[in-house]
Amino acid sequence: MRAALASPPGVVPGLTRLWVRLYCMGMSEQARVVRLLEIESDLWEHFADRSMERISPAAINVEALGRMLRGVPSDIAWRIQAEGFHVNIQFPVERLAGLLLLFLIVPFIAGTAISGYDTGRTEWPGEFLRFSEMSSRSREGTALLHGAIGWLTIAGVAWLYATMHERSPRLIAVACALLAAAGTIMLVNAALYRAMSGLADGFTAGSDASLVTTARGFALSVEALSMANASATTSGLFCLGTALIRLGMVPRWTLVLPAAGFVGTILWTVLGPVFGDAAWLAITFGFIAVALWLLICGIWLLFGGSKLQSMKGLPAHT
Amino acid sequence: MRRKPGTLVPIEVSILSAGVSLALGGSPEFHGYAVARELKEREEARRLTAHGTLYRALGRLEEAGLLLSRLEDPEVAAAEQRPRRRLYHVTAEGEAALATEQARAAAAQPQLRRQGAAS
Repeated sequence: MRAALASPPGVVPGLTRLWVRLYCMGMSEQARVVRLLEIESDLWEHFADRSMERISPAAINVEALGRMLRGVPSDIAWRIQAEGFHVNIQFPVERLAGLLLLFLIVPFIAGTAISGYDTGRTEWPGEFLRFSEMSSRSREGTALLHGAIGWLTIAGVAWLYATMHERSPRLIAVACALLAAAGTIMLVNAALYRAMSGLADGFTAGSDASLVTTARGFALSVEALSMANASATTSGLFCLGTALIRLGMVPRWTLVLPAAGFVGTILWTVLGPVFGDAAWLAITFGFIAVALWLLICGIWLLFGGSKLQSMKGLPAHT
Repeated sequence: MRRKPGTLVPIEVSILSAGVSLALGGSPEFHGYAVARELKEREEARRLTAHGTLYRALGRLEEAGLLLSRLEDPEVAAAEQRPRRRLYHVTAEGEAALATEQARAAAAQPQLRRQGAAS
């Protein structure tokens, strides 16, 4: 009786699949998929056949490893003969979208966590002094990081729009507009932060009291823009989440998370002036929900979906 | 290995021969691993043919029209809970090419023996 095993598990089969994916990289979809399927079938037959002979799994793994390693020169030669050195890497949209979502965790956290000071402190001059005492390099680095993240967010969103706007025009357009706004806000914030850093340097050099007031203006602007950034990001991600569900790219239940983030931000914006600290709970909860959504959906898109399933659509004759 | 035009390299002859043998045994279509196993048994080899060597040779034979392949019906594979196979069969040209190779080898055998005896 054959083992009811869809795919042999273990390090060696995994390594073999990885090797096949590597040398097939950039080939036409048809050739790549057929090769993957053929090796997958071979591995399965090999493990099933040798298991029936009561050979230990370790021995079968060693045998399979030997077959893979001894075939490497032929694999390379076959790859070159098949389509030359030409490599046309085409990552599926889902995988890149997954990478983008995982990347968006960074601006999402960084965009709302401008570090180094707290405008809520009653003693702003003392807080500004503390900010001034931070190394200039550290402040410049923070500004640079925010600027880079802003540009990368805009670039990522531009790619998302170019790739997916035809699939769900309205939702993707709204999502991209909001996320691009968040990226732009990050750039403005980076510029304001840098200006404030310059004021801090001036304050350290001359202790000019007027700089403290000006800096507070900058700091409050950065804080207000961070709020706007949070609103734009959570709304944008909510639209994106809805679009991804409509396109069947992520499970329906995942919408709960960006929805919670969206509601949390709205509650924070509306109730913040009245309820103060209580509203922070709403935004904290919302942030955690959105970060979790980015993580889950990012991993889902990046690693989800079986490649073998997509092979079912292949024609019978090659 | 460089080959003379119109000739087959040993692994190709072995594959065609194994394919014909499997067909005579009641399996007109065969998959890669079945060939690897058949070769191991027929040639009393210690090891199964490497993936790269085997599938590259199968590809060359198909390109030359000596083999034909098709992907198995997904429903058959699903029913047996295993991945889809790529099934090959030896064409009439393949059988003819194998017969030519075997005749050439048979003709070369006495010649080699004579050369051996002379030296």
